[in-house]
Amino acid sequence: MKKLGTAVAVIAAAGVAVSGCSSSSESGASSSSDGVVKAAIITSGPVNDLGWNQGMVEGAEKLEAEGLIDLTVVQQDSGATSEQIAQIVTDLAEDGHDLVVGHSFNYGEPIKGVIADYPDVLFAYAGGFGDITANLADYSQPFYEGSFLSGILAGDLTKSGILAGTAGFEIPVCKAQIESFADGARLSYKGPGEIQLRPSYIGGWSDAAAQTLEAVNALVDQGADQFTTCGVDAATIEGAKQRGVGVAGYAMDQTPLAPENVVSSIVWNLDEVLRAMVADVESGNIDPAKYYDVDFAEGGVDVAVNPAFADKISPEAMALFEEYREKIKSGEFEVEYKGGA
Amino acid sequence: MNWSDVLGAGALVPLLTAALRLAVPIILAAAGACLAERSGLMNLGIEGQMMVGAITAFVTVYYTGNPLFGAVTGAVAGLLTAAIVGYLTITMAVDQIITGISVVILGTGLASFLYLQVFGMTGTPPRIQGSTPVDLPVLSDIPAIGQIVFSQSPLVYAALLLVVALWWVLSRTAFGLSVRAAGESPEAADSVGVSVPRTRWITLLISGATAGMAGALVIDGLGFFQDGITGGRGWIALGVVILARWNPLGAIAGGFMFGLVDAFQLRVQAASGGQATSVPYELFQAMPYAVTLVAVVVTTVGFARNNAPKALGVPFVPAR
Repeated sequence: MKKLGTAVAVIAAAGVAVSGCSSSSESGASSSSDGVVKAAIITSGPVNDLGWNQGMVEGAEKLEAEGLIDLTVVQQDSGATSEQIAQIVTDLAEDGHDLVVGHSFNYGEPIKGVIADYPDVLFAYAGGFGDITANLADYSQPFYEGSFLSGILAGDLTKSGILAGTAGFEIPVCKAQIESFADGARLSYKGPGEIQLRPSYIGGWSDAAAQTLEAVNALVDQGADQFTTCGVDAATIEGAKQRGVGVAGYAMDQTPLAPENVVSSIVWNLDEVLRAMVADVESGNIDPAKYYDVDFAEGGVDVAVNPAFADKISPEAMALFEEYREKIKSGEFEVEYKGGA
Repeated sequence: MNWSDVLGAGALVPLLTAALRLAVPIILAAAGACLAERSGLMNLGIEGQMMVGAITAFVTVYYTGNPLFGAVTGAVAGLLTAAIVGYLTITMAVDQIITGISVVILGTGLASFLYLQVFGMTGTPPRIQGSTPVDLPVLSDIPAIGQIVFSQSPLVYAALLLVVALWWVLSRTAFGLSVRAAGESPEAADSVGVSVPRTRWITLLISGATAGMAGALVIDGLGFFQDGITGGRGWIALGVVILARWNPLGAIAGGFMFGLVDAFQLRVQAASGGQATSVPYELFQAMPYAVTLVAVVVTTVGFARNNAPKALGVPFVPAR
């Protein structure tokens, strides 16, 4: 929606920065002189979304509780402009942070413009495809591995054989997640016909909630009855709840959002990713930065099944789910990555 | 792809229903803005008033469970936010554009701040039960149209009735005449005893209230609140005002057109998905904006007479 009034909407988005600062000071007020790594997270939505952002913040808070980092959280939303993100990142670096994580795919470009000025700071953004430049790291989002397992359950539960995936944009991680959802479903689906996959790319993240809801309506009207969602989870799950279809949760165990509709959830454990970054900051090993690729086998992601579906999923599909979960963990089976280049 | 998935007899009613759902908040906010602009006042703060309305309505419905009450508190919150615009632009004669944009920044930030303060970080993000659609007796039995227009949430009926009421006030009442006079020639209006500041205050508060209620409508359909949840609808509404030639009834047409193209593109994309998409999805996403742009151009050229109120955006300081 923000495209029409671009010039003016740019300024509108600045409002979020105001709130971001106000909600961030609680944990970042104290400065560290005791050698603890000063880390900052810039979210791309509310920190209490029980998903993408909360998962990151909780992972970071875990490290803070362990005394590993001194944490600052800056809440932003996906409508923030590149200029705003660049400014926030600059401020955080000026403020003496050793690690600055921009938790959105969209933050990559603005951060790239800042990194050269602060060679002693490790920056990272949620690219998810190994996009590293000098002291800018990337971290993997192996959702596609979890999505394959969610797909096995969806393939068992679908009546129409039509699976749908909603995502903000057609970015590699989202594409891969949606594709492997269908691949998993093909293992357990008994017909009639074959699994059909209908991805829908909304064109916005949290700022396109109403469109996401209508995309879900459109997909259900066209027969889809099992969903996966990448970054537009709140509205997709709400849509699934309103229309009574199944959905796979995203980034955290999202069962509480729709206990009767969330079949399984892809759970992302970000504390391990952050832990590796903090270790590199401590050892000064930040340029060239790394691609922090903590996959399913290493505990980067897992899948939580909603207990309410225990008696709805067939024992065969459940067995298949467990079998593949073990195989992926042990490295015996590799989920094919279909995110493109 | 199979076009009958989008335009077939069975698909048309859901398409138009979705269009109306997407359109109503825009229509309502635009209708209120028509009034303000006809009195000569640019309320650029609509997006901010919508956000404040949305969060207020969300908190209200969360604690009371009453969506209608939420719409009322949302409208009041939007009105209060508009009062800031009024104080600055009407009382202090500050630049209307700068004021409006500041209020958007304020409203967006305030909403996000309040949400975090009220709900904090929990295991279960707050959700509300939106209003349930009501079938109007007899009318909802009309084939197709009945299901689209007369099987909506009570908030949608209230919003559409309000828009018609605003049109009536503007075009058929003495107050409406003062509004138009204040926007076309404030000095003339002033000379015949119409208080321009008072007239502009009233239209501005109406615009704020409709924007706040529009925000309430957005969260009513979604059942949750997020930063940026109004998604720029306030700005779209300002575009629709021009499209509507500053007429609240025109806002219904303009807003619906935008909602229709948006709903249409989402459905086309859903129907064509899965088969190695030959048409880039970005093209679908651009559709509502492209069509709105074309429509603005066409109406501007088509209506040879420039309908913009002559004193639009010009502060009025009464002679003492």
